[in-house]
Amino acid sequence: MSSDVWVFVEHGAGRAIPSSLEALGEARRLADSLHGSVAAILFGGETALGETLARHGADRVHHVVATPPAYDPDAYVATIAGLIATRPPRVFLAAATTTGLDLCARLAVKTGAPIVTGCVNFTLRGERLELIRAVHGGKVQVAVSAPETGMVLATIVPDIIGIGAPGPLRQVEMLSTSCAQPPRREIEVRETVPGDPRTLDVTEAEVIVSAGRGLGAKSHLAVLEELAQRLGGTVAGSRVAVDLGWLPRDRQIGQTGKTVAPKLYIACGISGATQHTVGIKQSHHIVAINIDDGCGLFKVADLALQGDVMAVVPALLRQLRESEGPRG
Amino acid sequence: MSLRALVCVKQVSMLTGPVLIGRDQRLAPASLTVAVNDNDLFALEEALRLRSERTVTEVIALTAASADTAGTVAWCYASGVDRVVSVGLPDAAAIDAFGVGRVIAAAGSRLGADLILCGQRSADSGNGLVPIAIAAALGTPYVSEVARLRVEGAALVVERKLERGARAVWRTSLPAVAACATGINVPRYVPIAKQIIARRAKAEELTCAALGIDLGSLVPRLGVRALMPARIRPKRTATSTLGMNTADKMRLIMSGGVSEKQEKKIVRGDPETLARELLAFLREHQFVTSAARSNGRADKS
Repeated sequence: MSSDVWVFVEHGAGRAIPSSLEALGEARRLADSLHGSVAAILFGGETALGETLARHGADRVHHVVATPPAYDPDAYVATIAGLIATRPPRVFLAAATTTGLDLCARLAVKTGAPIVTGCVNFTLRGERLELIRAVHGGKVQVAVSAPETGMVLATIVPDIIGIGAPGPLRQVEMLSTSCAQPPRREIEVRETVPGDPRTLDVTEAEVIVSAGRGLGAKSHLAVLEELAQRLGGTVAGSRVAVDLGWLPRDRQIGQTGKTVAPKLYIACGISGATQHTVGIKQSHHIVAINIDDGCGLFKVADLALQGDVMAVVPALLRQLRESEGPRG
Repeated sequence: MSLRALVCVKQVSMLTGPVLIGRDQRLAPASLTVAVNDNDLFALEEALRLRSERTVTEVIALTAASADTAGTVAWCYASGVDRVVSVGLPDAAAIDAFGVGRVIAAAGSRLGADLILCGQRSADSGNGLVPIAIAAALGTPYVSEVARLRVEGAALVVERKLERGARAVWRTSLPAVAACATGINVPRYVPIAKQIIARRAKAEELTCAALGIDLGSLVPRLGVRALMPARIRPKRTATSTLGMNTADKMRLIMSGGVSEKQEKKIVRGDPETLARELLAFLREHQFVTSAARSNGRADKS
């Protein structure tokens, strides 16, 4: 049994997803405590990703090639179980994403190893590894003792631990492995349908451009829709915008609408009544554009811009068109 | 094809009071309120929808707990299920998700379930492992985060909920276990009057012994050492702390890099300047690619 820590790394558009880098950083910390090394498990993707993974703590990258186009549980589990069988790690980590959770749970069944989901911290209590997980909506934490020997699987709640600044480039060992083709398949992966940001449910959106009374007219929504499209997001609104008939009821955000937690929330012409702000308080970044200096949203915004929405947003779109494409 | 659907409905203990932890490393009962697990209601609604489409002929709700589940049983009956089965479990500390999965699998096998539906995770412990534990014990396929499902002959076709509204379409054989994602439907409103009337109906009782399960074999794989109130962990951040005083640095570290909200300034200027400021913000946080840096920033007041 080694003291190594392995991390399942998810990626898209040529970049590792932030929650996987977060898990990798934690794996580095844990491996240093356990005097082991860090291995990243990368399905598909470019070998150039190895440099990023090394900067975030990986000593070794198991690069799985000839992979299916999308997450295929049978193939992924068979491949990783094969790697584990050769040299089992002490800890196997994954971000608690849809794929990370599904994969780890299946690996727990396949290998018989214990699993702890929703971890927020890892500590060493003497020689014993403890995994701290959040329960009851994060109000309570449970310290779970890992067995003294054998592998333990864990998923990490995204955006709790944070991603540190990338370290200096370290030597990384790239090991290429072919994706397993299990003879017996339980699941047939038919297709993956990308989400349409325009029709995306606001609770699932990572970027929301939200309209309020300050937008002025329903016809001005086209500008916000263009901005949302460029940012890969969706359009929503305050209760006032919905009551005015600018947006359907399912696009309403706030106490009487939906509670959202996007990575970016751009409030356009929204005054920021408490009924609205309670629905957006879990947003990672809030930008408020309002002509009113006393706008309540300015108090909670990361960036507060005092100006007319219909002047600022078209100017932004023009600058975006001139300089760059949307986020990958 | 006539199918029998089994829906797992957990009775959860919601923390509604202060976090009071006893010497036995359990939350004080005074802080807890018993409720039906919200996430399971999506699975229940999906089963009732399949019955209304005549894909499913019978919907059985199953609740497994060590405590009295009268309220949950009444809720299930009032929702319109055909049968409710209650399985007695050992004390929560003596069983883990895989143990619960084994018990439910045995009950599902006894009841002849073709499709087992669950919520993806419970609102209290939130492991999200019971559905796969049931599938593992039964040796049947498992699909997670199901947003939509339909039965095609002897196969189950599901749309899985991925990030950013994307969906993965998976096909598997029946019998199967499906864990339903949150928000896939609108669970029906169950009036209190209906629940009160439904309290007269009793659930069919099953025990581990009757299911042929030795309680001694349900030992948890991992031990819980302690419960504690949530502690905020200092979050790693790539934000530069150069030029900050010690108090600001501490605030930044403890808040995970969000203390800038307390430092925020209202940016004023002409629309082009404000747009440049916004573009710089979007680039800084990687919402747009940083192909070219903007020139000049607006004055902050």
